[in-house]
Amino acid sequence: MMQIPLEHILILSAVLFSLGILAVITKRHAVVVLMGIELIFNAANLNLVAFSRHDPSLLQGQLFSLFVMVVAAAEAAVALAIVLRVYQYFRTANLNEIVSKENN
Amino acid sequence: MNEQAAYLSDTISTIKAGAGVLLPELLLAFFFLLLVTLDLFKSRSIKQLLPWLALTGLFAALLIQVYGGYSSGKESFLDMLLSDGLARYAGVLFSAAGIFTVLLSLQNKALENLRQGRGEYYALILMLVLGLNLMAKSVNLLMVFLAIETVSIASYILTLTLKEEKRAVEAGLKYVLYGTLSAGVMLYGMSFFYGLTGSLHYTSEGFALALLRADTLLVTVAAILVFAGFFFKISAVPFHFWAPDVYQGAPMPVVALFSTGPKMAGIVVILRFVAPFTDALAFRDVQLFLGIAALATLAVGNFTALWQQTPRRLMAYSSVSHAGFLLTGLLAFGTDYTSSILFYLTVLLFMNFGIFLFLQIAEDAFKVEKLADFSGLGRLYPYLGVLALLYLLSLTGLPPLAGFVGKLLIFSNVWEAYTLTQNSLLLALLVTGILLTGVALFYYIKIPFYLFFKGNQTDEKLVISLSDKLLLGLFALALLVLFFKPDLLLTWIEQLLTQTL
Repeated sequence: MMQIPLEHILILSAVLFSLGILAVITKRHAVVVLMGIELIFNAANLNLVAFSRHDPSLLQGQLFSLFVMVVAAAEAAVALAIVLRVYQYFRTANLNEIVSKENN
Repeated sequence: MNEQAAYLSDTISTIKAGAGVLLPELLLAFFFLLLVTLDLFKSRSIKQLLPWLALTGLFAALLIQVYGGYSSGKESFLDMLLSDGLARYAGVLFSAAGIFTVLLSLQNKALENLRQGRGEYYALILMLVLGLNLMAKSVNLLMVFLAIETVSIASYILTLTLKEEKRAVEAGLKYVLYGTLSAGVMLYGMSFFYGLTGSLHYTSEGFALALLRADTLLVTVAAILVFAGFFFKISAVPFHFWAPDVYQGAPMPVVALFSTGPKMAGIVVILRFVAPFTDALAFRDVQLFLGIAALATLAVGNFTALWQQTPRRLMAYSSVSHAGFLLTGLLAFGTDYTSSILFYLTVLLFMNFGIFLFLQIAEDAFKVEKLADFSGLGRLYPYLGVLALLYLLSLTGLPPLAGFVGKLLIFSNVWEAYTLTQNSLLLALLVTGILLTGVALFYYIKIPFYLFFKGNQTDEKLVISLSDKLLLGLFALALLVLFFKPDLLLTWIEQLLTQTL
């Protein structure tokens, strides 16, 4: 079976990471920003699994990525609950409109 | 097949042999579950009991860590955790921070009147302290990530304790977005460290050797990415943007906890993490990055604080500037800087809880929202005013208070490192740090200025509860004792650090 070279996976994960950062910087909707952050987590996961191939005895990278998925799910649950709260108060999930005047 | 079974039983028995080091964490986890379960009952008397149960758990963890001879100095749990003197002292600080937080919460009006989620609030404080303990003990990238996330998720929920307030909800959203972003960036950096070294055990010698062999540029980039996550926890520039909003929106005891607990744990994690990077030749860029970050943190924290109009935001930038001083102390490679940093963290604990208790009293009893609202309070309530002055002078770093000793220790370490290496970055940090201590006086002194030198608007005399006064006095007493007898603490720290290494 032909193996995909490590460089290709690293380039893909770098692209995913950059897309995630781009989404966080340019998008103003809270949920879309969270999606960008998920992309960053997945880029890291891809790296971990790819590197794990060179660590055949312990497979620490693969284990790490499993933990990351669970933690990311827990974090997304809390984050979405907070976004829901925000929507109840501000009637919007647009980050630019949530900033209240009194704080500045 | 038999070999595998033998290997497995070996592994399990080594894990069991090291399980003793987790005793404080197990206790905290037990009390966390107890609180969550008891919170389900509707009875009022049980609800009244919950904070005291949380206190019991934290006290038990504190006592185990003060007296416990369980710390082994060897890695346990398959090289995941290391329970050395550093972790033990940090654990004492975290338990103390947890106890102070619960005590402050018992005095807080808004939290006492909380209808829903009081049990969860105290349970989450236990969870946060548990996560902090794990952060200080972990020597594995996976464990660090999990511990940081435990602390983060507990913090997000604690920020929203008073979820009827608009400000709290806004702060929670900002906190969770910045937090997950920095965690993701840190994780991406960690994945590169795994790829470069083939190991997650970042205090091992193999890790340090592999780093020396690896491409310097890649190591630098990966280190900067990982520091993103750590800097978020200690609220250092450029990951401090959450601090002012969270400090404005969260309940006061939680703010006090955020300004001490995660900062202390983050500093301990950085202490362990920079150990392979002390080689000045191989890792010049990493050290340069840390130095510039420390300079930027000092400058941004101190200068932005000058413009703040509310006490909470002022304290947020003050905590940013303290992160800068701690980072400065971390860069004094080659000297014995660990004990001075632990001393500074201890002082920070008492100073911050003291000033936040004062702000809580001011907010609850006198409805103080802005700095100008403090007008004349010091003359009406001299006890409060004088103690607030003491805390603020200690935060600035003036004698005769412990804040002065903390800064002195850090600066003398930096000077010693400068004379050793002639690194001009260290000199720049030293000069900036000392000059900015002068700048700090300008914004800290604003509060006492309003307290004593402005006319008062109210004549009504309110009674401050005795427990509030006692707590305030206690924190101030600790600051005075640590100024006149810093050796008491320093010898204990030295003892703990050398004992197990």
